[in-house]
Amino acid sequence: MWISLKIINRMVDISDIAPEEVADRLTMATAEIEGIEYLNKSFQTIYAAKLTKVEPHPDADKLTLCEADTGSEKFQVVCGASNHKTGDIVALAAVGTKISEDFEIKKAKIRGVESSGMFCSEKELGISEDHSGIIILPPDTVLGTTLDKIYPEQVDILLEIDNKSITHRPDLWGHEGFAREIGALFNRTVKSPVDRTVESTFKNKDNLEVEVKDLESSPRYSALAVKGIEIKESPEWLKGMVRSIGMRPINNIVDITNYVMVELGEPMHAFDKKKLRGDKIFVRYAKDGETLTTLDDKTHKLTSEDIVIADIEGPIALAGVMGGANSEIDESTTEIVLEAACFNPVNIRKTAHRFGVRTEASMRFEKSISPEVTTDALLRCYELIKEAIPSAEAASSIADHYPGKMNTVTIHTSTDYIRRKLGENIDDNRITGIIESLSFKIKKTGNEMEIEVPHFRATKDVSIADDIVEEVGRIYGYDNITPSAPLVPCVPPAKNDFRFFERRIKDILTESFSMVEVMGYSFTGDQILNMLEINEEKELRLRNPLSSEQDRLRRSLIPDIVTFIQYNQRYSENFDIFELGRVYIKNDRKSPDLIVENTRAAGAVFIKKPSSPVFYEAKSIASGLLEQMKVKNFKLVPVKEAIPPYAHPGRSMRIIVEGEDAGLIFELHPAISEKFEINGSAAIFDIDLNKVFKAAKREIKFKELQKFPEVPFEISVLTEKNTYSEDILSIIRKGGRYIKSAEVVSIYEGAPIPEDRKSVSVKVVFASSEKTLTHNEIEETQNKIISDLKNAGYSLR
Amino acid sequence: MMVDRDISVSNLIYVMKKLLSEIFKRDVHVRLRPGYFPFVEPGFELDINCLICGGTGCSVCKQTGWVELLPCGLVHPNVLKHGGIDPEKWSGFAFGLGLNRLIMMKYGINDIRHFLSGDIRFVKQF
Repeated sequence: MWISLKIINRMVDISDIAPEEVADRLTMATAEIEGIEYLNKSFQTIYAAKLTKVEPHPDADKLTLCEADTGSEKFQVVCGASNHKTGDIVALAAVGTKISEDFEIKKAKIRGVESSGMFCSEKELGISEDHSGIIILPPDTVLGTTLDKIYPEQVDILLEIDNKSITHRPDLWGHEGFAREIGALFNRTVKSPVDRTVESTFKNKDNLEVEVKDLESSPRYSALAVKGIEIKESPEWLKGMVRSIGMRPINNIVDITNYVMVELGEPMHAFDKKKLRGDKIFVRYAKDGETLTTLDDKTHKLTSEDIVIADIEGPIALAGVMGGANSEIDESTTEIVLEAACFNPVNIRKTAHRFGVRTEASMRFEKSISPEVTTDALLRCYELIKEAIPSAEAASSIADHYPGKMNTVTIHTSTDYIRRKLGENIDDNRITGIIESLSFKIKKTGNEMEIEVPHFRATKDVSIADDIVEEVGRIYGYDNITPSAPLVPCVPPAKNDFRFFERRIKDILTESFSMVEVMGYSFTGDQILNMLEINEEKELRLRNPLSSEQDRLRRSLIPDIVTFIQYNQRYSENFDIFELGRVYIKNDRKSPDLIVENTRAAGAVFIKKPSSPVFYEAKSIASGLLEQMKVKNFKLVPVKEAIPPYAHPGRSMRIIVEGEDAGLIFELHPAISEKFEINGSAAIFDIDLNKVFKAAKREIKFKELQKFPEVPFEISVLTEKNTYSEDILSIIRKGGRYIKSAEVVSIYEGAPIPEDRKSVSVKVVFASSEKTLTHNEIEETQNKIISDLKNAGYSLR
Repeated sequence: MMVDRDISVSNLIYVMKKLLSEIFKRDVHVRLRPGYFPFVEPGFELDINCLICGGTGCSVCKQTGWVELLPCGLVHPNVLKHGGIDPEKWSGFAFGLGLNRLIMMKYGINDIRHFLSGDIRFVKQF
């Protein structure tokens, strides 16, 4: 929203204060000012100058060589126009004047003759479209007068308000509200632009008939009939004002109603009285199915949530949003009905939203405007109409439907409370002075205050003692408050074990395994889920998604990881990435409304070269991580069935922790790689950290070192190529209590091993913590392993 | 959020200034402007002096020397009440510090979308 300092200056004189200072104080105390715009600042260096000489240019037919006198100095100027003669008073833009962003007047030689300045046309200065010649000012213009004095309606300084910073302040949606703030900030008197004595000049005391059928729709409705209207272009002063506030001049009545809206913050409307059917105006909720064509020529089908203004036959305006075409004023209008009202903000907001028409009026009504301003707005409007159209005359008294007068809001608090909340020792007089400067009334007894809130702040904005704390704080200046440390006893915070656990995992993956941590959104969408052949119906759907491709809460990190592989393969040959994050599971069984959050770690190994051993790498990272986290009782077991469609059926292993499924390690299914255009080898691990957390040992106790000798034993097993080593190891581990460890040392394929087989070499260590093993005990264990393997169908080398 | 007896705007300013100075490892200037958030009263926008240009004006701070960093305020009495705390006896301040905003300020990152892009060329720089 734009605030014109010219309009402000009529209510509170701040002509001696720099606009930058005004903007700065308002930003710190009231609302964010986003910028300052100077309208036609150039006019300050364009002077009224008399042509003392006009001669042909010695070297050009179409140019004249002139001498212009500003009263104090004479300038030689070359001019291309032809409508000027000696003795004319013209507008001379001095050297250095910036007519526009990229047009600055400079001293120049034009066809060999020096020229210091330029005579301007109206079009060049943006005053009108007239480019037929340069401006010739009236002969009585005082020489040297600057153009900002000659065309005051063209000059203004505008403050741009961030609308988001005033959504809670209905009073600031008009200049009067800002004038009051500025008055309080600079300690100046504020004068209302409304002259209430105007009403005594009304000759016609007839009532305009208004009936508010649904009181809730409109707590106050005021109207006034005016006759003797002539619709025409607005006078220059009014057009200038309307342009200043960022609107387009339309005609005198529309311009005046718009002007009063931005001046007082109260939206106005004017109906053509002769177009009304019958003499009575109704305010009511629309009937379902009723239609209305609004001023923008759009026809709306109304519902019982929309408020309408109607005559005896039907709606004539969408209340608080836009007028109806059937009662629009036009060139033939001679009598009007002016409306100023207070409508139910909730209805206005809903109507404007549903029809997609957020107008200047609806924007204000939805903020809860004070009902107290309606009659003032009518009087102000009438006064301006009289000024623009002298023949205009009130044709009724003010019809004012206001049955439930607004309640006065009174707040009880104390100066002590305000000091305590701000943490600053402000004396009583300063506190009451600030409160009163903002139009609040105070009854004070000792420290206690009974404060009456002015009507324009009382609709929603100010209702409790803490609101008064804010009023005092912002005008006193938060910058003037001395920072002080809170004085409280401190205790160390409770340790969040899970947070430490997460950080340790991140450290291990980044430091021990040189992986790169990535992060994705918590949202996912149908397209990627379908590509991964994940049943999308299981994912929670968002009611109001950011985009249609991010309309579900993720229940797995894998879609993200796969997309990140796809993305990063463009920039990197080989990389290892992981994400540690939450997924969201629909809880179907117990309470369908509750979402189960599960923390997982998923990582990927990518190598551009096809058929690289990525699966083994992913497996060794996952098992290395679980080992480093000291996870008790975990094992990796081969799985062939019930694996997700994106996993390679021959290269997948399940992570089992304490007997429960805690994740999966797999090579990406070739069909999925192809769909995602992943050109290389990729394997992924995905671990349920909630389960791992429970099994991870966090408290370490020292154990006596192995005192008795360890006996190594190596064995090579011939197996089918697709047999998992883990199958062999689990058989070996069953060989008795002296087996301390068993691990694969090598896998060999090729001659002399038959083509469909491989040889897996395993190193087994025998030991006891109680004694040195005897030859017999060792041999028995060895034999048990060998026979177990043979019984399971393996042959040994 | 901090709740205790007599927690004030003055305490809020102190804690914010201290917190930000420690994070950025240098003296910072902060200022409070009125801002509206229904769960605090009074509510503020906290600005920090632009660390990119040092407050002289640049494209990050739109030539103002200040950058809007976080919303904060004194906890609204209704919030305390609904939390089972008597607002007559206790008061508190609350703030919402976006880590992304801080990191962007610290390293001069210009686009918030980098954080969730999964682009390892971005992540590897840190």
